[in-house]
Amino acid sequence: MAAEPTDLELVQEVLAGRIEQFEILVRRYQRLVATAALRMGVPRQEIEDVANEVFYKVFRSLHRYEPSHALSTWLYRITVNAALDHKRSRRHDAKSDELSPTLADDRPGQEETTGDQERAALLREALQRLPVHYRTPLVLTHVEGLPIEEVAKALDLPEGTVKSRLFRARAQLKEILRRHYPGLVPPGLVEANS
Amino acid sequence: MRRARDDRELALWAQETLAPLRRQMAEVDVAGSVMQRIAVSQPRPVESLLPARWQRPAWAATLVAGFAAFLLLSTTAVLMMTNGDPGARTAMTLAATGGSLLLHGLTAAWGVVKALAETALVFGRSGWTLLETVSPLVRAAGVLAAFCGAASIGFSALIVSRAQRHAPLVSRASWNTLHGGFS
Repeated sequence: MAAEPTDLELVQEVLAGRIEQFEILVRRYQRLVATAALRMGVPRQEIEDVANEVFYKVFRSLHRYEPSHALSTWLYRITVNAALDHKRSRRHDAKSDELSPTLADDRPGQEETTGDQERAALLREALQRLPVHYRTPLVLTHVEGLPIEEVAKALDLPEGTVKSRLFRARAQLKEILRRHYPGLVPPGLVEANS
Repeated sequence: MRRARDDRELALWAQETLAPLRRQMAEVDVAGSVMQRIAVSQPRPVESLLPARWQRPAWAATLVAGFAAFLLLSTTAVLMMTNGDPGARTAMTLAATGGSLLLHGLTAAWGVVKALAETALVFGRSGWTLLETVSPLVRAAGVLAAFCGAASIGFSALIVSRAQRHAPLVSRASWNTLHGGFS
């Protein structure tokens, strides 16, 4: 059985004109892109549009891909930008939903319990209160689980800047949760960090 | 040290707090729609009217036909000129007139360019002569300015040294008495 082609091999084949190979990349990464978009606050029913847009953008700018970065890092970067663009256009369309991700918006995933889903929806709501430049590194680090250097590459920022933004983002999130969503703070950590 | 500890604690807190978001997953299947969108955006290749096996002979036939047409045209033109055809004669006269007009035009244009270049050369020479005449004066003015500058520095130094020599001596104690300064 032949080994699966690497991301770089696939990219090179697509650039050489074998466009159909791009489908393998899409299938390989569509879950990552969709999940990242959801975690960045895109409602479930609009994730497909965002993912479609992300992969189309990736295809059009594939010649600019730098092999020194992992393809997933580059995809995170494009997904984050697409999610923010999407939010901006939605806000432009309907100014009423500044903090819109409501419980009714999100159908639960198969593995999510109702309590978890409620907490996740409230957390997304709380995250929307953070400025974008704090929210993005926080989500990429603590939700997507990327190391600092990957976050720095994905956001095209120096590692020091990412670290300081993360520190401020955590502090601000803590303050937001303490004031507006006290029920979301994990029980064992309330006293220790208050 | 304290900041690093706070940072670590805060990181642990965020990791724990955001756990429900980490458990959220989304599944989509956009491969088909993306590939369709890409296919639509690609330029379509021009479709040939002939089947593939006829394309080479068709290309060769087009080349031969083109060459034959060129041969026919040039032979006809040569025959018309050698047999004294009035149309051909008129065309040759027109070509000769056009050629002589072009020659005259080019000669006149060359004359204009030459005259302009000569005028520019005369101006350039005059400017150079003027520069050569004036340069000793400019040099002299420069030397004079330098001398004046040096004299001014010397004079200032003299004034300062004289002022220092004739200034009254003031002790730290008398200064404090007068101005209520340092104790």
